[in-house]
Amino acid sequence: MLFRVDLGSPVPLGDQIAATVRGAIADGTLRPGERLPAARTLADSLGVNVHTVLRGYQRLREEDLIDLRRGRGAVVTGEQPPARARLLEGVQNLVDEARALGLSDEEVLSLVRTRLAGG
Amino acid sequence: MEVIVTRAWRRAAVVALPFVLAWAAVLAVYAALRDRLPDRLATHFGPGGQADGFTGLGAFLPVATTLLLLSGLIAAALAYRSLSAPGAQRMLVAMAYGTAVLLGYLHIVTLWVNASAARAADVTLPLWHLALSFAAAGAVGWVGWLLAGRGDAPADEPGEEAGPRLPLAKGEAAVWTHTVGSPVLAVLGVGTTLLGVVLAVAADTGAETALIVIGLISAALSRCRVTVDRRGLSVAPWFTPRPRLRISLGRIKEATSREARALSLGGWGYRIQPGRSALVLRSGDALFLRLVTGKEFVVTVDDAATAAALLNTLVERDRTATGARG
Repeated sequence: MLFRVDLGSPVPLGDQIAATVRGAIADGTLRPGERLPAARTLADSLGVNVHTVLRGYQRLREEDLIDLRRGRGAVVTGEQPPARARLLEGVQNLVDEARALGLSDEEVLSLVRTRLAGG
Repeated sequence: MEVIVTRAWRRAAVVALPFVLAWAAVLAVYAALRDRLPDRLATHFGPGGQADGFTGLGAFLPVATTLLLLSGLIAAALAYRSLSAPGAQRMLVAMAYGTAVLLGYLHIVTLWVNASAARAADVTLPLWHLALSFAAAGAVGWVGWLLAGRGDAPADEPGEEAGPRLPLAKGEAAVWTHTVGSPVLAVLGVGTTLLGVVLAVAADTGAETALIVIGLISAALSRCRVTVDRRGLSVAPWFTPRPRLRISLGRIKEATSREARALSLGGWGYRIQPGRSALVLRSGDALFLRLVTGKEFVVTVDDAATAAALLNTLVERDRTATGARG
């Protein structure tokens, strides 16, 4: 898979790394059970701090897209990750657009809640 | 097609022949010395040449036959299957002749020293025999190398095409990485290791350590991670970043990708042919690098097109940066 990060962008590098992996899972480039490169190796390749990569991986783990285990590295989880990754990308887009419009967090949440209540 | 098949058989026969001859020689010596051989043969020797391992006389011929004919069979199978890799064939012929001489010599000299001693425990194998066996193997292997000849140059591939690019913004870092597995190497590695373990338990021939080591190396390399980053291309076993093979951006002229058959690259594993080295794990998508020296490096890996595009972009960026620095 292809990792791309823009060193000049205001988006934190860890989030950029997470976004690339999410995209690769969403479009099927990364399949369930596949292993991500070790954090240290990837950090060396990109020329960034290893903690930056780990922060990105941690974020993916919180989204249940990957399993992180000591000694086994980062592995894409087995449960419907492509669909889940696409959903998470959608959420990210929603947040980005809401921010661009100047909506507050509470306004975004209430928009989503109204939608959910309306079925 | 018929011509190719006939040639393949002939090549297999040429490679198998030295093993059959070595086996016949061992049989002949065995028959000639039969009456003078003790019931227990000294078959393993310590660093001083003193016997320290013994095998029943009855086991000697089966082990010798298995070892020699099986090696011959493997070599023949390899020769039969390598259709278009003259460099690899030449190496194979040299290896086959050398190995046959080495195995034949050691078996015969074992019989000889046993026949000359009164008791198996008194048997010694002077170390110069070992040196001589390697020298003889080297010499005969070299003759095989010369006899095999250079063969035809590898059939040449599509000519110049502008390599693909992957546009990168200024200040953007990109890394491409993919793992590639080889069922062939995995099976071969596990099989060789098992053969070594079985031999170590059943009979002490001195070859088992080598078999186990070779088997484990093959198994370890049966899954690799290929990475393209700001430093160039690197290939390492998937479970550890080292040892690794690295080709820096400065050494790369251009990268392309296309489908390739394992046999057309010289077989599985790390193959060296005139003008080209290749890491072949399977048939299919492969990354081809043209180096500044004019040589070629190939590694078989999925999604090689993206890898080639990124490499070309990075090489270009590296050239510009180096140029700007002076």
